[in-house]
Amino acid sequence: MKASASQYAQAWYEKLSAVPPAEWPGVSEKMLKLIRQDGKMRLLPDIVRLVEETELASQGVTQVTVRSAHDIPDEIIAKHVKQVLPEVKVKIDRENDPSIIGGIQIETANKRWDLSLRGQLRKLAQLIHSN
Amino acid sequence: MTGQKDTVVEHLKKTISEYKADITEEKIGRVVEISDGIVKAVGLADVGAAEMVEFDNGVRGVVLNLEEGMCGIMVLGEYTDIGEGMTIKALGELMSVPVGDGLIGRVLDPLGNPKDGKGALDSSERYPMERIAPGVMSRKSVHEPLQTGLKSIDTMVPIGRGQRELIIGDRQTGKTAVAIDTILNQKGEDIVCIYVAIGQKENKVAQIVSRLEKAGAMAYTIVVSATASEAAAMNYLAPYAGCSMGEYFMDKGKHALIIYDDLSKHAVAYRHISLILRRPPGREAFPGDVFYLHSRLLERSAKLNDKLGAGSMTALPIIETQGGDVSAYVPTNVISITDGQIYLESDLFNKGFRPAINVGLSVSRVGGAAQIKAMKKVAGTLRLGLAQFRELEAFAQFGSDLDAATKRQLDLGRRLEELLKQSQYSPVPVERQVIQIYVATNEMLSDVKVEKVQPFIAGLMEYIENNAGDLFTEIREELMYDETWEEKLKSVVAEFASTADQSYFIEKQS
Repeated sequence: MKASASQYAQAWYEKLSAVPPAEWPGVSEKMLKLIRQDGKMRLLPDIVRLVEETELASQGVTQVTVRSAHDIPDEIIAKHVKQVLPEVKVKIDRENDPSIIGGIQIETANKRWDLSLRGQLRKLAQLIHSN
Repeated sequence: MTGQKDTVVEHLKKTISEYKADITEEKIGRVVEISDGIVKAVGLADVGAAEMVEFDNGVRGVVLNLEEGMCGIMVLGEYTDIGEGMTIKALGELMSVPVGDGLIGRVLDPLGNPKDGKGALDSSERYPMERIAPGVMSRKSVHEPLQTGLKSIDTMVPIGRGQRELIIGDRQTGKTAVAIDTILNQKGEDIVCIYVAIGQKENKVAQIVSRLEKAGAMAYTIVVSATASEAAAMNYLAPYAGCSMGEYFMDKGKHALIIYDDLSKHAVAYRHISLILRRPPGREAFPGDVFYLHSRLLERSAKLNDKLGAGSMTALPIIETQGGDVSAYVPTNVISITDGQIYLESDLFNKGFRPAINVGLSVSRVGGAAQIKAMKKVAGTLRLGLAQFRELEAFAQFGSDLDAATKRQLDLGRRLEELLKQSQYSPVPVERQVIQIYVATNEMLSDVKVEKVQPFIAGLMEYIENNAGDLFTEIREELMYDETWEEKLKSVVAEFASTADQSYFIEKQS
C-alpha cells in the first residue's frame, strides 16, 4: 500500500512513543527499511520535518524560525513573536540571512510574517508598479 | 521632458510618503522537489487550485495539483534558480491577463507581458485566464458571416461569427496560411483578430508578425506568442490568455476572431506537465482530461444574444495531423468539439491546388446560416458539381470515348477547380467571389482555356471595376442579385470576352 509522508511520519512517531528510548534505533532502522522498500526515500526530509512537528505539537509547542540580517537581542525577537503569535508556546530557531537587509521574518510551518526591509521594499515596488 | 520627469518624481514621492507598512500574515510553503518547470511543495495550507503563488526569488507559479500534504505548482518563468527548501508564498488570487484596446497591435507573452519592445501596455483592466463559457441562454445562433477571402471556404465551407471551425491537415499543407489570409481579409470589418502561437518556431512567429505589419493588419490584431523555446507552462497558458483577451471584446459587443496555432502542440505541452505531475497517462500518454482541456477553451467562443451586446468570438483552432491520420486522439476530440472542419491535404497541395482544401471532407455545420443570400444562391450547386467532377475524372482516366454530357461536366469541373486556386495573401472580397462563381457555374468560361481561367477572371474583375462597378455595389449592399443584375453581368462578360486577348480562348474548329 502506498502511504503519504504524513502517514509515515505519524506511524514512525507512534512507534517511537510506544517503546523505551533504548529501542529507538531498532524502530528507526525498520522504518527506514520500509520507506526504502516502498521507494519513498525522496519523502524522507518531509517525513523528518513532520515527525518533528508532531512531537512539538504533542507538547503544545509551535516551532518558529526567526530570520534576521544582523544579530538582534533575544528580548526584541521574543517581543515580536509574542506580537504575532500571542498565547502560543514557541520554540524559536534563529537564522541569519543578510539578503533580507534589515528587520526580521517570523515563520511557522505554513505562515510567515514579513517585517523585513526586503519585504517592505518589495511591497512598495509592487505598489509603484501597479500604479 | 523635465516636466514629465517632475511628475514621475512627484508621483513616487507621494506613493512612498503615503505607504504604510502593515504586518500581514502570509501563507507559505516550501519546495521539496523541482523537475522541468514543475514544483512539488509542502505547507501552503488552504491554497486553492489555480491559485497564484510567488517564490522567494520573485518568480510566479500556479497551483495545479492538490494532494495530501503536498501540492504541484507550474512555474511561470525561469525555474533554474528555484531550489529545494525555497519558500513559496500564496498570493490569494487567480491567474489573470491584461485586456483592452491597448493590446491591439502588440505582441505579448501568455502572461500579458509585451514581447515587442514597444514599451508598457496601455491597459488597466484584467480578465481571469480561466472563465466559464457563456451559457445556453446567453447565446444566439450564428447568423453573420465572417468572410475569409478564400473562395473555397467562403463558397463551400462558410464560417459565421461565433463559430468554431477547425483547420486540420498534415505539416506543410497551408494551415497557417489559411488563418493569416483570414486575418488579412478582416481589414475594415471592425473585427479584432488574435493570433495565438503555441510551440511555434520564433522565426515563424516573426515572419507572421512582419507579414501582418506589412499588410497593415497589426492595426486590428493582437499576437500572443509562446514559442517552442519557452517552458511548457507558457505553451499551456497561451490559448487561455488569448481567449480572455478576445472575450473582453465580445463582452463589449464587438467581434473577435481568434486563431489557435496549434492545439496539437498545446496538448503536447499539457501532456508534458501532466506526466511530470504524475497524473495517470491514458491514450497516446495524454491525461484523461485532454478533451476537457480543449472543450472548455473552445466553448468560450460564442455569439452572444442581443441583451448581452450581440458580440461574438469566432475561433479557428488548428490541428496538425501525422500522415493524414484524423482518427488520432487529439484530432478526433477537437473535430467533435468544433462546428466543422477545413481539411487540408498534402496530395492537393503537392498538385499545386492551393489552398489545398479537400471539399469532400471539409464541412461547416452552422456557417450556411451565416452565408449571404447571393453567395448561397450562386454556390449552392458548387460542392455537388465538384464532387461529381472528381468522380467522373477518376472514371474518365480509364477510357477516352466520353459522351457529350460527361465531357461537359468534366470541362466545367476543370474550370471550377482552376478558379478556386488562390495564391497566398490575396483574399478576394465576397462580391467578387459571387461574380466569379456565377460566371463559372453558368458555363460562361466554357470557351476559355483551363490554364487561362485565372488571367481571364483577373481581367474580367478589372473590366467590371472600371466599367460596371455597380455590379459589385449591388451585391455588397443588397447582399442579393436579381434578373436585371444577371442580364447586365452576362452582357458585361460578353463585352469583355470580345475585347480580351484571343489567346485565352479555345480555337474553334471550322
